Amino acid sequence: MILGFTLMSIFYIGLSWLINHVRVSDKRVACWVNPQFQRKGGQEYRLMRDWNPNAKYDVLAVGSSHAYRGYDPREFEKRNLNLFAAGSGFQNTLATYILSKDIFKPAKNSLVIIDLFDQTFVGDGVGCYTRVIENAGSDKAAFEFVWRKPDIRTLNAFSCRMFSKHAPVEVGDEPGYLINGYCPKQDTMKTIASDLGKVGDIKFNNQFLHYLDKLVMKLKQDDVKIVFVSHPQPKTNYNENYHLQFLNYINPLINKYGIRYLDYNSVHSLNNSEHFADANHLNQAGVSMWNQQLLIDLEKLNLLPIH
Amino acid sequence: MLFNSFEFLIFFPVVTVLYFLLPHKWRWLLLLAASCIFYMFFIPYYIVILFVTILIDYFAGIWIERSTGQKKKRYLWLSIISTCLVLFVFKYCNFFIDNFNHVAQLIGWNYSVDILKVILPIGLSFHTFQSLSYVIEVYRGNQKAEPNFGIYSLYVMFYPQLVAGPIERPQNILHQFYEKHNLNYDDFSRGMKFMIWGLFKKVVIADNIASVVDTIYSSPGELSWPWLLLGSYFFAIQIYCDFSGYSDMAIGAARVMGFRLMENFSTPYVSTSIREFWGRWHISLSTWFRDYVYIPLGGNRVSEWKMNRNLLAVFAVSGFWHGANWTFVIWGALHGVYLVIENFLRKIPFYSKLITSKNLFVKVIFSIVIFQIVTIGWIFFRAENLNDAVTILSRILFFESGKSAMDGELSMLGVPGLAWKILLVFSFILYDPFVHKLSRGVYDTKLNSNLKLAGYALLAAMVVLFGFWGEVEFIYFQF
Repeated sequence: MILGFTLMSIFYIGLSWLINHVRVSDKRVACWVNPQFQRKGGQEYRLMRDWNPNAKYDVLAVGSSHAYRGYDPREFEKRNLNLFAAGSGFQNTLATYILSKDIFKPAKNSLVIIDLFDQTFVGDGVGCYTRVIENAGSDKAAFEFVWRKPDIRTLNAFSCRMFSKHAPVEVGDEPGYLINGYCPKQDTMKTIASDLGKVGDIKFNNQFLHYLDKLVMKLKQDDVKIVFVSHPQPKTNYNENYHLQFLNYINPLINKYGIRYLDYNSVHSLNNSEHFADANHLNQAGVSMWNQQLLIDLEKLNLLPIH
Repeated sequence: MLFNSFEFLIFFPVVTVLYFLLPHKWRWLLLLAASCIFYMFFIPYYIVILFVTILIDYFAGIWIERSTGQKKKRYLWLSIISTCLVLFVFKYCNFFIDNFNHVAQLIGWNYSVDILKVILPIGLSFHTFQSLSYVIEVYRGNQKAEPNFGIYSLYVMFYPQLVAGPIERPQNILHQFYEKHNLNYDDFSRGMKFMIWGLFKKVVIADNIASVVDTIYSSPGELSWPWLLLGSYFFAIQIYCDFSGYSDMAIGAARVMGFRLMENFSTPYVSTSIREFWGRWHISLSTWFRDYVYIPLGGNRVSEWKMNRNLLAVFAVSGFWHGANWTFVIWGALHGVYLVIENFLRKIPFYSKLITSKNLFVKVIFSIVIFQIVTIGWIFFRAENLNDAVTILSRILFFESGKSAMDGELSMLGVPGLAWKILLVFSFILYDPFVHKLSRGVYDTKLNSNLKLAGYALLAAMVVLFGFWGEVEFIYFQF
């Protein structure tokens, strides 16, 4: 049995090396043989390289794609605030916790906007982890994902990362990438948004609530201001029953820490066809309008950092 | 719980170690508890339904054994009807309601019955048939009624084969729960080999090509014929790898603890006739229908016309067992028709001589032809509805042009990605018969044991690295 396991490990390492060194059509073979292996590059890669650990960011937006498509550093700049949008695709609270601990460390007295998106509290979140593991700027952070979410997919992603360290980038930046992690969409929504399967009861993964709790505790220890925000949703994509289930799920934690929660999910002053790029994201026009309102609301709550 | 899940990676060694650590008299209790946990990972409260059917058939078995004559028969029918009633309510009721509503609409009758809002309990068809097998064998006097309720429950619920078979016979498995199994290197090693090979088929082959099949079958009317042909061949391999992979894992998991489950697949795609195919595909189900439906209807002892009629009926029912949809019924009936035609052809001396030929070339040609015929059946099995199935068949037969699947959802896959999947499938077809024999000990004396160990270690490494991991259910779970 020990011999079998040793042989298996040797074959595993050998095959991993092979598929990460042989290239077909400018990409590692690994990217062709299993869709669960992530390509190097894209939003996760770009934002980790753009993050400057020596810069003092006044505001950090974390969370899913809402966080990198919905918070415009230029709007915050108008108030002399330096914002970094540290969101990544389907980033859940476990991922946010690890990233804010190891990479995106918020400065003292800064504001962290935790963008709450109900869909990131569902499922196992592995798709998000594997993208970050492949592209994270630190091995320690990448390994922490494997440690906290032991799964064959995270293990494979880590082994690929280690074998592809010197491989060139395989995917370019997200179209429209600007600065400080921000990547707006310019389109307007052309079709009616789907409801993304929002029917019936939501099966929340309680691990994500646990990590939201840990994240809040850690940020509080770091003397960082925290606000929860739910990004606007197109009217056609808003399901009251679904959202109420999410609020019931999240409210005990909000009450426990007394954190302010700005819920724009059900605010429908934005227009579907003019301000949204798709069923989930605002376009640049929508972001500009909404960010102005958000800044006013944050100011009223005395949450904006003062220089 | 799925065999291809992280939970099972913990569950299986824990249960196996505890099994061998516990004194023999408590082992059945451990297996029963483990089986309950395994089942409750899906929809916990559905265990109540399972408990009800177990209770009915446990007492039915005892009463059948104690009675004689008409009373005995009545108990048998009572058990069959009540067990099938559960299956009917959860699996077939909505099919009949739906058809009733369609007919009512067709004849202009402004009346419709509401569809029942129930979810099919996982593996219901499998454990229903296993329960029926028990009461029928007790009725026939081939099996004594099981006095221990716990052991009988374990017979129905034994976790390796609870949700997708093999559908066991009481004569094969019940006595094994009373036997003491010691940890044995041969059983352990053989069981692990079965599990690795089964897992390889499931996560490396079946789940890897599933995305191509799903995409092609989701819009059959738009795609060009080569894509539809590719999707059909891929599905033939997918369903084989998915289902036989599960069976191998079930046989392997049981074998590690010393239990021997019946063989369920034996490289069906090398079959040179449809009759041979059914002797190699889902053996536990085809022998179930043979023993409990076909032979009681008269088997081969009736006139040729009646025999062919029975064949058609049995295969249509077998199709219906798979799913409450006309596509499954047609799939089953189609195989019935194949068999009737084959029986007719076997009467022609030239054909008969050809099909029994030992010539490898002739065998390969027959295998290829049978594979095409079986694949036509799989189109009906996989298609969403009859309309889609006919569309796929006609577009392939008339070489109709259309869109490329790579223009849509498969664009991310890329040409190298698709080439890899085709390579996986082709190489699998070549080495499947070899590994099948290898895992069953055929080459035990011919091959060096270190070489075999290295081969399985390579397979295991490929399972980890190339496997498509995640919560991908087995296709047969829905049945």
